[in-house]
Amino acid sequence: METHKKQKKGLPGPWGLSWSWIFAGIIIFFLLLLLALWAVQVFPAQGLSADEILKRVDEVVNAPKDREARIKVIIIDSRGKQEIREMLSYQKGSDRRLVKFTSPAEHRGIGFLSLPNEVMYLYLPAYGRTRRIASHVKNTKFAGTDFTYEDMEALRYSEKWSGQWLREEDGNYVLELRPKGETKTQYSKMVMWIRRENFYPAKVELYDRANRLSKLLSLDKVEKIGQYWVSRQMTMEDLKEKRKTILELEEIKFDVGLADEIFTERFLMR
Amino acid sequence: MRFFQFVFRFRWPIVLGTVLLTLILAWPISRLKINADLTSYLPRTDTAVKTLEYIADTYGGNFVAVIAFESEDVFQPSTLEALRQLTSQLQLLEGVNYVTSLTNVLDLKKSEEGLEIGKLIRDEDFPIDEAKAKELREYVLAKKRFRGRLVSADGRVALLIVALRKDVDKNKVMEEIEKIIEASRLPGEVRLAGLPAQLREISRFIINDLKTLLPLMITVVFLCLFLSFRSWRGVFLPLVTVAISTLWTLGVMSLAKVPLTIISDAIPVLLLAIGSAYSIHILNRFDEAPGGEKEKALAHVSASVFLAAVTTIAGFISFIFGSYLTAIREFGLFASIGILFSLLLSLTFGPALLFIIQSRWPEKKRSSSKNRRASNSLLLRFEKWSFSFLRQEKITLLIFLLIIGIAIGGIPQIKRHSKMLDYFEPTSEIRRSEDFLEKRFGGSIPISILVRGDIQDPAVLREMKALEEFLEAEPFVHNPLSIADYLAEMNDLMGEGEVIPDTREKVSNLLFLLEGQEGLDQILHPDKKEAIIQATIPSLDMGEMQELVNRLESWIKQRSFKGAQMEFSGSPLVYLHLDRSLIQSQLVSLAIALGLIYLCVLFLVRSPFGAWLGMIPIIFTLILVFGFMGYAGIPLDIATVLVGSVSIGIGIDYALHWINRFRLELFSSLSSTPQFSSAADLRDSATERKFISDSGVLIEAAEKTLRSTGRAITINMVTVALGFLILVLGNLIPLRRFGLLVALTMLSSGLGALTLLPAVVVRTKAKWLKTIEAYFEKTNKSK
Repeated sequence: METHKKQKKGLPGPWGLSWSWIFAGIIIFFLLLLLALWAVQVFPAQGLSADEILKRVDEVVNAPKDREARIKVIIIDSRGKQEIREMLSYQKGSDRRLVKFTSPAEHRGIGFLSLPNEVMYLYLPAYGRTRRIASHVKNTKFAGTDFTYEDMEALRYSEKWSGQWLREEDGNYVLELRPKGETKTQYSKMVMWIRRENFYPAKVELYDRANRLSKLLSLDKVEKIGQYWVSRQMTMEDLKEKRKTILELEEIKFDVGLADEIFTERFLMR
Repeated sequence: MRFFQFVFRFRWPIVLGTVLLTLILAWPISRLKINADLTSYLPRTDTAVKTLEYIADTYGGNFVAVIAFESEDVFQPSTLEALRQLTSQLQLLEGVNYVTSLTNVLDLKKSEEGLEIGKLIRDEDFPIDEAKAKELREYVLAKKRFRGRLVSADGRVALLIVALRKDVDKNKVMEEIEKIIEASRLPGEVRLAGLPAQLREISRFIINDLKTLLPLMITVVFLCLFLSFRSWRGVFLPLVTVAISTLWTLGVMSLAKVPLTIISDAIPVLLLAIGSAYSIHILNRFDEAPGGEKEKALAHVSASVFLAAVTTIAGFISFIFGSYLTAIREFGLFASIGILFSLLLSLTFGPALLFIIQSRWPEKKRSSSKNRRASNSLLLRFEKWSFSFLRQEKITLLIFLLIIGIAIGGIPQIKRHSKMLDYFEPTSEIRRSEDFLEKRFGGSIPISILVRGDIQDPAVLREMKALEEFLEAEPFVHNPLSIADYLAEMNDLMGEGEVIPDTREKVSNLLFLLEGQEGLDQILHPDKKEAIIQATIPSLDMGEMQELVNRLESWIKQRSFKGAQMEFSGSPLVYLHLDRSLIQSQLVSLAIALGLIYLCVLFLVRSPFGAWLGMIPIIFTLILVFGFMGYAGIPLDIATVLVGSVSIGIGIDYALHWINRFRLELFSSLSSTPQFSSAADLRDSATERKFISDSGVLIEAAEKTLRSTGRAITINMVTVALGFLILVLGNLIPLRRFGLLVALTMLSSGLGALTLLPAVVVRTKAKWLKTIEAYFEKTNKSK
């Protein structure tokens, strides 16, 4: 035994470690590396599942308590003709929202109010009346844009969609979203690119019920305002009709403490 | 003569060169395109076309196919599901602009839940249960905008309206649609109607007819030629010449990238009718002439063949200058080129081939020529028959005058009104589908009224509504629809009654809500400065259509509304325009052709009055054909209007051949009759003429002409007439009429040249042919 040890000591490794320890260490290191690579494949995003990623998206997107913004709506038709509108948008939580058009003059005062349980009101100033809009108009286009009422909803993806991991691409997680059993939607599936650094969606491919890619939503100019992430430019492209609508968010304010009165029919008529 | 010596010397190079050229020119034919779209036949500058194209570009719904689906109850959940699937499948089809059916049509309604703007049946509503289906049935059948438009009042028939893009091959798209319908296996009966379906049926029928009838036609021509000539070359020479000239013409068309239209596809048949005559005359003369004089005989007959071709080309060239329609101009140009090819081939390739055959098998030819005369009893009887007409020239003239008189009575009765549906047999599937649609929905053909003005102005909208009410009261017009209807309905939903909103602001508010809805862009321009009123009509004849246009225009004029400009449009209007300009330009062309041909005949007979007499057979034919059309109830339309030019083109040929030969025969008769060769001092023309007519030399010459050239004319006339009569067996009515009329044309101009013309010549003592004068001048000079 002594002689054996001595023989080994005859070749001392660095830091006083024996070579066999070093070899073992190297092997273990590579094994761990392999394990880590495998783990990255199986548990992407710091070990998050697709549904967990989707939850994080919801948290990021719906983080503010309320939001007030002036939105510029640019509609570009298939011939490249542009139409610009402006509206004020108030949102509290994820299910209360009021939109009022301010420009052009002929549309000034037209407003939409969305309340929980899919209750929606419309106000037409020329008639001086509000009208309730049936909830199932989801796949109806909102006010001549390429966004449908469903697209305009304050979104909580994880409640209605179940995610499936596809791949990672250019710093984005790519998930495929399919509607959960009860979800009523105009889309058969979505493919969503989610920014790895902040869990804010980058773009969404929307597939119609014939399972064709029909629309493309891009969320650009993602900035951190205060403590919240927000996309200041959202583009919805209708691939079939070759039209697109750009929503540009200006003068965004978060957590301003919007009063509950704002989300009433009476305020809608003001 | 020198020309035919040249042909004789180079007979082999000519034949081989022709074969080579044929191979080269036949090659590109496979790339020849077919353009059956009638609207493209009018020049792009035509106002009706311009508006139609503009509306097609902007609103996309001018070329509409209608799928009618019939079952016990179309509101059965499974049926609705099938309809929805079919609708979305068709929407995916390349070449389809949009599809409208119960499952995707825009609807506005108010329920307990609130205002609904969207599809009548939403995608999310599927699958539909029985109770919901029942509810839907009640709702839809009570709503005027759906009942009688997308579903029949009894709920048994549902329509899918498929708007095709204007720049696609509509026949191909229709084929795809048929495939999809077949695969969808809808539980009930499916019918396909609408203009694209009709056009598809027409081109399908044309192709089918040509496929079955063309071989039959060739067989008949083949048999006739064989029975007449009793030799293989008598059959093959005319047929091969026609085939080659047809290949050349189509090859040149393809090289020039000119598509075949439903007018120019008549070129092959016309070449068969006209071009085969050239070879028949050449062949007839070649056989007739004794061994050493073939070249001389050919030189003589080629003069009349040449003149015949020139006159025919003159007839077709008149289209290029006389016609407003691009398709007719192209037809005129390429028919002329085809005739030119036929002429060239029958003067070079034909004789060259004959020289080769003759030098190879001289014995055979002789024997066949001999027994032919004896055996061809039919031709002999024909000759005898025409002789008796000649001898009784007064009676002949009387008979013809009587026929002309009767025919003239028919001309004013010519129907100027035709409708596309009449092109099909009443029992045909498409006709039954259209009748079915007409009964249940009032027609399948879309029309539109383009309204230019401030569409958001309530006054403009009210005017549109008024026009819709006027249209509703029109017997032929059904289901008018415009943005005004939607706005009135929305106004009702907002609680102010189903009328046009009373302020511009209200209109503007409502339009804001409608914006982007499926189907809105089919009736409203995005800048809101223009809109269309849609409606449907059944297949109308041109007269009814014209009346509708007149009433509509006078209504617009009467209202003298300043706020907006209203213009009627739709493919029926283009057809009306097409029809009118076609007839008009055809008459102009006919006049130009008559003028040009008059000049040609004048060149031949060198007497202004004589030229008119030479044109007697064609004038007779024109009167007879048009009179026949009047009595037989055949309308003058796109299909039959070409017959006039064919009549002239062929009719004059027979006359030219006859006159040319008659002069030759008269000349030789005069020189072979002893009285004339000696009585050179008969200078006073009155006595001269009396002497000549008494001597029977005119009749002798006429008989000789009938026996020689008359034979060729008879062969040609009978062959082509029988060939064209085959078309009467076809499916498509215009093709049948065309066949019948061309056959009539051939017979009448042939008989005109064989009986009427000789009678006129004998009656006028051939004064206008100046042959006698020429003879005496010559004999005097030689003295």
